This record gives sequence, structure tokens and C-alpha cells, in this order.
Amino acid sequence: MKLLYRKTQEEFEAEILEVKEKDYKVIKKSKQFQFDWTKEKSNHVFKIVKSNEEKSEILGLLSIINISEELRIHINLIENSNDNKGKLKKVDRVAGCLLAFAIQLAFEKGYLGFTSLVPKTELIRLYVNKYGFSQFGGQLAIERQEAIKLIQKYL
Amino acid sequence: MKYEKIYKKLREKYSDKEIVDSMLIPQDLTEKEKKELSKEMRELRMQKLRETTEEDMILADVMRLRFQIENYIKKESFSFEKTFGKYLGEYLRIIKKSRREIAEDLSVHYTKLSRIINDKEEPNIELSYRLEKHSGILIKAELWWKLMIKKHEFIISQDQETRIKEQRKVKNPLRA
Repeated sequence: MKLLYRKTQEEFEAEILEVKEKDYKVIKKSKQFQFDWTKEKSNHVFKIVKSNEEKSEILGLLSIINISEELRIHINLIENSNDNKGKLKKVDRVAGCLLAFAIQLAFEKGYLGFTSLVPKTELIRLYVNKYGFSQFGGQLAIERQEAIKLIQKYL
Repeated sequence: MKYEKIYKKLREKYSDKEIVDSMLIPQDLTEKEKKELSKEMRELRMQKLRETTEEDMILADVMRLRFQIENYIKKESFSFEKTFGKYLGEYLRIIKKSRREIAEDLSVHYTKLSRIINDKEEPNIELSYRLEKHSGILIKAELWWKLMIKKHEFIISQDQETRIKEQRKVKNPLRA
């Protein structure tokens, strides 16, 4: 997958890797994340980093839950590093790639790409507009054609 | 309320749009609310699954095939069980078309297509472009072609006989 330096519009290759125990120390020490990611340890947690760099900085994090009995992947939390938040962010497409990765897992598991989330009420409309999620009762979800569109855009 | 507190702090610095661009902040839910949402989702999910069409299944399986090829290219060693021909055969199985039908769709002779699927003949780049179009651009030509590159990298690394035979024909090599 490709990320983009916002200033130069130069693309670079990135990869998503599972977060290991030692990463949590790095995450905390970096002071780049607002959420306490150690609380996500019981979920599947992934990091996005620049490819082929030995000590690559973590650009964003993703926490998901595989709810196999409902054939869905649930996104619990996504967060870009502080350097990649807001108007002055260094790298673009980070959250989109993490989201698309979760959807990829939902396809790989045979869930037709079904991926859900429960965002804050104030933000629901924005997630619907930006990523193409639909309302499923009190949750948002994406699947099938809309899910494929996101993968085609980001992965 | 853990997420609400962080959201309020973030709102001092970022707009909602900027937050959505770089984060997913979940709602704070009680255990009771979580259970209710889960029950509701289970019912809706099962209803949606009952509405699944054959086209939905095909598209989802083509996506899975794409990810299988990508993972093989990136993470695995070459295998004669994972060639262009083998994956093409799998693609046919997924889209539920016969070799004759797909040969016609791709404007390729039936015998040639069968030989490619059976790894008796090598595909050309043109076939990769046609397969890209046929898969609705879900599996790009580059990815199909990487299967050939992986195979040839392996063959070159193993074929000492041809290496020696061809290198005997070289004059004035650089002394490195």
C-alpha cells in the first residue's frame, strides 16, 4: 500500500504489521498517541510503518476484534500518530489504509468484507460520507461493493 | 468516560472532520448497551446474509483470491503449486465458468488457455491485461504478471546447467 507525504505529494510504500509486546513501550515513549493502547492488548492490534526501514516510526495504529459468530470484523480503535493528525499532518492516507486493511481481513475470513464500528454519535455522519459506511441499527458497517471500493482506493 | 474525555481534548485542537480523517473514536458503552447492540447486529447480519446473491459471493471470492496471490508474492517462497496457471484455474472455479467460456471471454484459443492452466505453456503479458479487465480490475495485470516473475526468478536460481552453458559463450567478462 502507498502513503503520501502531504507536503511533497511523494508516495512511499508502507506495510501493516502486528503490534508486539515490545512495541507498546515504544508507543508510550513516543508520546505520539492520545489513547492508552495497552488497553487494546486483548484485541488484535496492528501498526502501519514505512516499508524496509529497520526502526520505522509508527504512523498509525488499529485495534480490531474478530466476531466470528456474526461473520464480521469490528474496528475498536484507529489512531494516527500526532504528527499525522490535523491540517499539518506529515503523511496522508494513514487511517484510510488501516481501515481498508481491516476490511481486507473481513474478506480473507469469508465475511464478504463486513466490517463494523461504533463511532461517537457526533461523528457518524462524517464516517458515512467519507468512507461509505451504512447504519446497521446502532452501529455502522461496510461490506460487499462499498468495502471493495475502499480497498481499491487504499490498498 | 474514557473516549469522551479524549474526544473533548482532541476537539480543542482539531475539527470533527480532521478527527475522522485520522481516527476512529468509539462511543463509550456500558456492558448492557454493548449486549443490546450485539444482539441487534446479529439479527441484521443474519438477515443480510440471507440476501447474499451469487454475484456478491463471486466478487468476495475474487477479492480473497487477490489477497492470496498478494500474500504469496510478498511472503512465501516459490511453489509449483502456486503458478499463474494454478491461480488462473482457481479464478475459473470462482467465477463458475468453463474453460471454453473464459477462452471466449478473453479471446484466447481454448487449447492455449488449457495449456496455460495446466502449466504446459507460459502466458504472455497481454493475457494479464485481459484478466485484469475480466476480473473487474480487482486483480491487476501487474499482480498476475508477478506470478510469472516469481516463477522465473526461481528457475534462474536453480538452473545451473543453462547458466554454465550460456556463460561459456561470454568473452571478456569484467574482473569483479
